[in-house]
Amino acid sequence: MSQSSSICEEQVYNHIYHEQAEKLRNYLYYKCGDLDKSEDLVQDAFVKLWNKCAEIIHEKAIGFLFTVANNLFIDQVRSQKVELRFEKSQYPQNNTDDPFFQLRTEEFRLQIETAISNLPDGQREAFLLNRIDKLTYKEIATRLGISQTAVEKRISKALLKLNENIQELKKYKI
Amino acid sequence: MEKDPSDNDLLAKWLSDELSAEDKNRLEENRELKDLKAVINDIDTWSLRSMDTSSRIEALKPRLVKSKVISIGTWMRLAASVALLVTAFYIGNYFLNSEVIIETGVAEKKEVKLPDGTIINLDARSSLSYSKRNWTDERKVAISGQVFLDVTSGDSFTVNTEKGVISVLGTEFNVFVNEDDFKVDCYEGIVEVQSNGQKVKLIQNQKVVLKDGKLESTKVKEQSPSWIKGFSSYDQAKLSVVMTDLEKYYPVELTLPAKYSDLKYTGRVTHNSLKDALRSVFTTMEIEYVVNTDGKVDFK
Repeated sequence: MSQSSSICEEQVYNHIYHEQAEKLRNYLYYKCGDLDKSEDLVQDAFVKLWNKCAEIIHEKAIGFLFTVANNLFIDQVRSQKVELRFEKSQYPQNNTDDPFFQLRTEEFRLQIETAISNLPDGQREAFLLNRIDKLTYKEIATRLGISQTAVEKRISKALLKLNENIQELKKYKI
Repeated sequence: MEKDPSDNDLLAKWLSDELSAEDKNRLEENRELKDLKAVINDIDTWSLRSMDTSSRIEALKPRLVKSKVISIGTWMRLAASVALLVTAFYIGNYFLNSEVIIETGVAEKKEVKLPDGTIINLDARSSLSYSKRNWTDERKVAISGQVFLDVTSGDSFTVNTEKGVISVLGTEFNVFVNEDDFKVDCYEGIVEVQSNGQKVKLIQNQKVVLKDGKLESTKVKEQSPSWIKGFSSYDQAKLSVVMTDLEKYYPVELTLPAKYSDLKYTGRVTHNSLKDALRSVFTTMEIEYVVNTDGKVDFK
């Protein structure tokens, strides 16, 4: 049997860290809304990966990390509601040349942030992993341990909900 | 939003631009999608503060046991130093986290008393770990295998296993977890079991079993688990399951011929005498066996 790269080798382990740590952190953030706590959980997950490095082949590392992080997350008592906040680029306000200017106001964007935070967990995670972390539906499926069809279902539902929220907010403004 | 419900399911493919021109045009007849696209285009520009992976991985290094980092190389070398690694890990872990790890091997039983007076009984081939330092802040243990807990009342007590999390407040309960199974029996008090995204509350004489990813509850007849009293009780159990248990409670190797493994056994098997245990299982089923001096049991 050819010797594929072992996670126990420092170089391989470091590479996985540099590639996956931030995505894992973001995933956890989408679950709990606490960036620092998410980074701590990432560290815990990677320690577990190191401890089991001899038992996990390289190809399975990502799935393992997300599963472990998920389990560690379940241990936490989730006391507060999830409130996600993102860094956004600045739009010139009240630029009436933009047909969608109403949807670009600071206020509206904050409402959308809240709408996303209020999505059911699975939908919120899948949607954000796709839009913010730019993962394909297939990549999301691997990480969450579900089928690609299931991912598409979650995203479709999230889009449906967001669409409802957008139309509601528009009505309110008018 | 759409009159045709299945169009809603196409939204994900619409977003990733995987729809046929026909489907796309049909969906986009709805003006609302223009607004949605505009908002999504905005969301696509959002970001979270970037993670400084270089410094974070440096911060991680102290928690990765030193002896393991040195031991890079071929699988053979890794196998040879496993014993050393395990010892180093336990010692290192103990000093870093005041983590207590207790394990039982084949045919071993242990009783452990925790700092708060809680008593935990470990069955054979089980393990228990907890952090002494954090004990006053929160009561949290991790287990694998089978344990029986008698928890003193107080603040919450949490049991972590690979298959689920159990929270209690002063109770007596039994936890069984291995690769294939996850079962929790409540003998007294209230126990909350979390697994696979489901939550079940158990009261006295209720138990829950993880079957095909779902938690199923049933009743418990006994007052305490039989293994604590030194025997296992079977009701139409497959012989292969009984074999697995025998190898857990006795240092033997049983190679049961395939033709017998689906036979069902009903009865009690003691954990205290190999002779009696084998007799109660096999003699009643009229299967001949021979116990060799090296601990292997051969069957006809």
